[in-house]
Amino acid sequence: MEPGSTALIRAARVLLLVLFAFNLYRAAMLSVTPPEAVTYNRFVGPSLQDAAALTSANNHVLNTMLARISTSIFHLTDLALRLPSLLGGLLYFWAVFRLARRAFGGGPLFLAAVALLSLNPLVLDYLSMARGYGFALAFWLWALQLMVEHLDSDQPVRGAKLNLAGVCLGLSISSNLAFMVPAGALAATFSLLPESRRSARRFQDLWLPAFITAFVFLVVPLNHLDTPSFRWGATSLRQTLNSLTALSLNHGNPAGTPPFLAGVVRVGVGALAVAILFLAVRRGGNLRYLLAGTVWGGLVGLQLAHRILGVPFPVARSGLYMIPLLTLGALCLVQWINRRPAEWAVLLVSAVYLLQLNVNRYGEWREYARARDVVKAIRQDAHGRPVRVGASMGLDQVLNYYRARYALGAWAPVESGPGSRSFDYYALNQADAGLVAERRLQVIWRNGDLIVAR
Amino acid sequence: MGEVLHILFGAAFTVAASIALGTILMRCLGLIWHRGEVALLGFVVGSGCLSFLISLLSLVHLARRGIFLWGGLALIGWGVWEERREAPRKRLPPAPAAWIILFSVVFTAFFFCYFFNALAPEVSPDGSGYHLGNVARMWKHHGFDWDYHSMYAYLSQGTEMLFLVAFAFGRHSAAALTHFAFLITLPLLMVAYGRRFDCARAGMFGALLVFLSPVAGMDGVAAYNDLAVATLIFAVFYLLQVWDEFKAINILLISGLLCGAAFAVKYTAFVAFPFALVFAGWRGARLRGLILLTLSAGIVAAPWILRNWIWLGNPFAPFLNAWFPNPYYHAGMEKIYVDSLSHYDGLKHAWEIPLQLTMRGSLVQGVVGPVFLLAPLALLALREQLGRRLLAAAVVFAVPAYFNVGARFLIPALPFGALALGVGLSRSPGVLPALALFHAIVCWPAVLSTYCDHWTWRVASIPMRAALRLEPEWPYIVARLGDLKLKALIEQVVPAGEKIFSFAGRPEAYLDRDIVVQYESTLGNRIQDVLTSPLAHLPKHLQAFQFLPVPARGVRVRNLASAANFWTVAEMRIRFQGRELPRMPAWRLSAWPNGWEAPLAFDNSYASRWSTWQAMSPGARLQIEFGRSEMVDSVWLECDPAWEAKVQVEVLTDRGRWVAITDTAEHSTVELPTGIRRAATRDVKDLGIRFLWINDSDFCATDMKNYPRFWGITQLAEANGTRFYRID
Repeated sequence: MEPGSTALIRAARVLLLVLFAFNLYRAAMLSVTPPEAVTYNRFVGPSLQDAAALTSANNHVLNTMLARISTSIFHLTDLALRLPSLLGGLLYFWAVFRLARRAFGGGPLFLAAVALLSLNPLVLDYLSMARGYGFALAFWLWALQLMVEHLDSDQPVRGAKLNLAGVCLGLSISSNLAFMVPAGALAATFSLLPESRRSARRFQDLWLPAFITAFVFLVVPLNHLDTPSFRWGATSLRQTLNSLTALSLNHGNPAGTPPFLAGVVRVGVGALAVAILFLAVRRGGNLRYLLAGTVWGGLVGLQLAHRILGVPFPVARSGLYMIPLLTLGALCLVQWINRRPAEWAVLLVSAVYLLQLNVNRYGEWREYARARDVVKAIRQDAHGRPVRVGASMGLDQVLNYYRARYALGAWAPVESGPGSRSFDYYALNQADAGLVAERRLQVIWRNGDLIVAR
Repeated sequence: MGEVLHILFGAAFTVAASIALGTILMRCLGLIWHRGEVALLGFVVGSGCLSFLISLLSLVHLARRGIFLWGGLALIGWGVWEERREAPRKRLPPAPAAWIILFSVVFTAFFFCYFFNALAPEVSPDGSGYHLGNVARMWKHHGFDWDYHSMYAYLSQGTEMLFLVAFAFGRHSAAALTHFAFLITLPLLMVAYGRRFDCARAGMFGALLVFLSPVAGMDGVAAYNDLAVATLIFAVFYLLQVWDEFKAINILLISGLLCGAAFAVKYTAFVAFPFALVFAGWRGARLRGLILLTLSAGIVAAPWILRNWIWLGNPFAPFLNAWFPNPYYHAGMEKIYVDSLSHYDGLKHAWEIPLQLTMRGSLVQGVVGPVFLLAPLALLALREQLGRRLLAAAVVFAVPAYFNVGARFLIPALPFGALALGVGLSRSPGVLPALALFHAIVCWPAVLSTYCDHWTWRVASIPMRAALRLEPEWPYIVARLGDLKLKALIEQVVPAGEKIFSFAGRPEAYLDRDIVVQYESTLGNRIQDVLTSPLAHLPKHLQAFQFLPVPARGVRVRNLASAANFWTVAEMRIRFQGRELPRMPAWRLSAWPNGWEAPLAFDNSYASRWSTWQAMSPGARLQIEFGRSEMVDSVWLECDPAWEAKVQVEVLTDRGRWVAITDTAEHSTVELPTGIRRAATRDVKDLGIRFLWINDSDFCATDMKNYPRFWGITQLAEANGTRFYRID
């Protein structure tokens, strides 16, 4: 790592600080989204006994535990619920900075690495949303960073960094089970590296801490598993890449992503995977080895899990790890080309991400950005009397969260399926908007796709 | 508080007497231990010896408080005197300070939790049932009650002998606290083992794993015996390792004594003896050493084997009844009982077994804790000799768990598995303390309740007020043992010395009347069979074997087939020219197997029947010898059909040979006279039982409730889903 602080390094620091402020603002101001609300309603809010009764894919254990702590210390607010995720974001930015410095020095490529790894709108969404993806990504990147440090060191301190890397891998899996694939692939790649044989206790120094850490966090929650909830995902890697492309490059309107863009990205990813493997084999380099091994190990792992166990491929956020993995791979290629204009060009690419950032909504849950106002509208109209609210699927979870958040004990729990029976109020999204005309409801509040009627 | 002092005195006195006895014995044998070991090994060895002595006193009905008190005080005095003569003992190698702090904090927290549970009134199922039921009965008779027959009374009762001493001073809770002493001793012994054999961290880790394990904790605070077994077995292993280092022959003698004591506590612990013998032989023990080991084991185990042999005719009662047939326990019932213990009921998939044993627990009555899911990692210990020995011991002492799926049957193997896991993981920094802390958190009662099954047997709270008797004892007990709501009535209406029949076990330890439980004895089996006959197996099926008239000195029916079912005959009738031969007192009735019950096929009662009470096998027979020659031309068997049976009629000729006549029967259904229910209760009364204690879920409970007049019974009371009847 080059010593000192150049303008580019200072710029990177400023960028990361601004992004953290951006995350902080979103965590405090944006309404919770349905999956965040489910996390609270199902795993954070209830007693430990009820929360442990059944674990679904929505329970990102480490994040859930920290959210329980933060909401009990700071009381239930959107920010308190998202505080662990913000912390995960901070850890991620720190890892990005350190890894970029170690791998790409202090030049334009370093800044490009920081920008590309931190500005991706899909990644950025999950660095403030109350889910486990931010932590999972951060710990995975830390594991990678620590492994590289261990390998780059001329006289590695026996085991200490590897132990920590193992713990990070375990924490990554504890944050989100989908990270079992990249964590396993990374650990396997490390174990197969010729350099790693200098310390012969790979099992004890890396695998065991990783396994024990994940075990400690996951064993109790996984006692009662809602297996069907883990069956959500894509049927092919093509779908996986399409979803990531749409949410990364067309964040404002993922559904409207032009097919050619997805096609180009798929071809680009294929070429990148081959190139990074070629580069690792022909030119060496610890980071390149680890990235190439993780990319290919991950692909093989996903295929095997799909074919043997019927596990679906990741889709959108559950494939989040592919973004830094592939981005780092691409950056290594550019580094190999070793042309200053190419490095500046890569930096410019990050502008694509920059242009898509929107402080007022999350990419996957755009329509819920003002869901909080739905509750406020009903509360204002109801004047404190007990009400029964029927809400569209997804919105019911959000409203139930705000029912707890605003201590609206007089309200009956919000029910899903507004068309099933009659309610005092109807909170509807676009899919159920027809109910207004059908039941001749009076609309008392409307914002974008959300309607409150009675 | 006076009651609490009695309880504490009872337990402390028993433990002190044990330590003194152990110390004296080891000093007499010239065995010198380190400071951290002497009290622990003294207690374990002494408890084995004390149990042996009390069993001898019980055999001769001298189990009295005065003898316990003065004998115990003499032992304690002698032990103190011996210890004061001893030169200052060496210390064990030190353990890491951080580990001592971690161990002390966690151990202390759980110690208090367990202590108050042990001190609270004893309400555990088996503790208040047969463990202390036997103790209370022995206390009443100042020794064994030879007239009381129950499979649980036939088991070896080494721990109950210690309970008897404690019970004499502090009643039920003192007994539970005596068992609690083993729960405390085991982890401390494991720590001592770790320090002695240069694996202090693994020792402390393993000790915490075992001590905090929910099933060990719950078992250890109740008047059970599993922790005593585990401690004795671990002590055997410990001593063998020390012997392997110093080759002192007297250590083998003590090891043998502990093997015998382990058997005396629980039959399943017999594996300690072959383990010790093989280990000692493998590690070069001389013949004299092996003989000493065998002899000492045999002497301590002998009272139980001899007692059963002389009393019941089966040295290993209540098991091996097929090898040692006896009128007190049916071989078939034994098989049903053993089979029921070795199967998981309600399991959907084999994958559930590890989860049941570690985290859920409702199907296996307890959990060992989630960390034991990491047991496969103990294989890492194979790299070291110490680890290999521990793993071998873990495998050997887990064998009994194959025959009883209850989680507590794994307790004897836990110390070895936990230590091996500690040895295997000790090279990875931070892993052992992290796992120990995790285990402490997830095994704490309040946390455990959040994830284990609701019905898991566990320490669920800390009943401090009940323990200190600030809360009245009896309401606390009755709230947990609902059957005892009927105690006052039972002791009022059932005359002293009379027995009560029940399909299910009851908290006998708190009842001053003997309960005949359906599955616990031959008598219980017979009463159950009689009471279920009107609804379950009326002998409506007639098998008529017709043949040409033949003179015979005897007739028998013989089964030629094998099947898992029992073969039963309610009535066997010998006929000639369309009339039944009148049954004569001179007839000699016999049967095989279960010859004792052959008269039930000739008692003219459709409620009772002869049964093989074991799986059908070729050669099973029911036989009459007339004592003179009679003409016969048909044999009728009235029975509940056993279609697998292939029956052949044979007659005894004047020449004394049994000759097969026919194996062809005409099958028909007969109308039975009414009043079978009444006949059933009459038969039960003839067996000496006038009172029935029926659960609403029992097979005939609804019928008895709806038709008490048909049964000839009167309901005297009802409580907690049970009804108490008198046979009119």
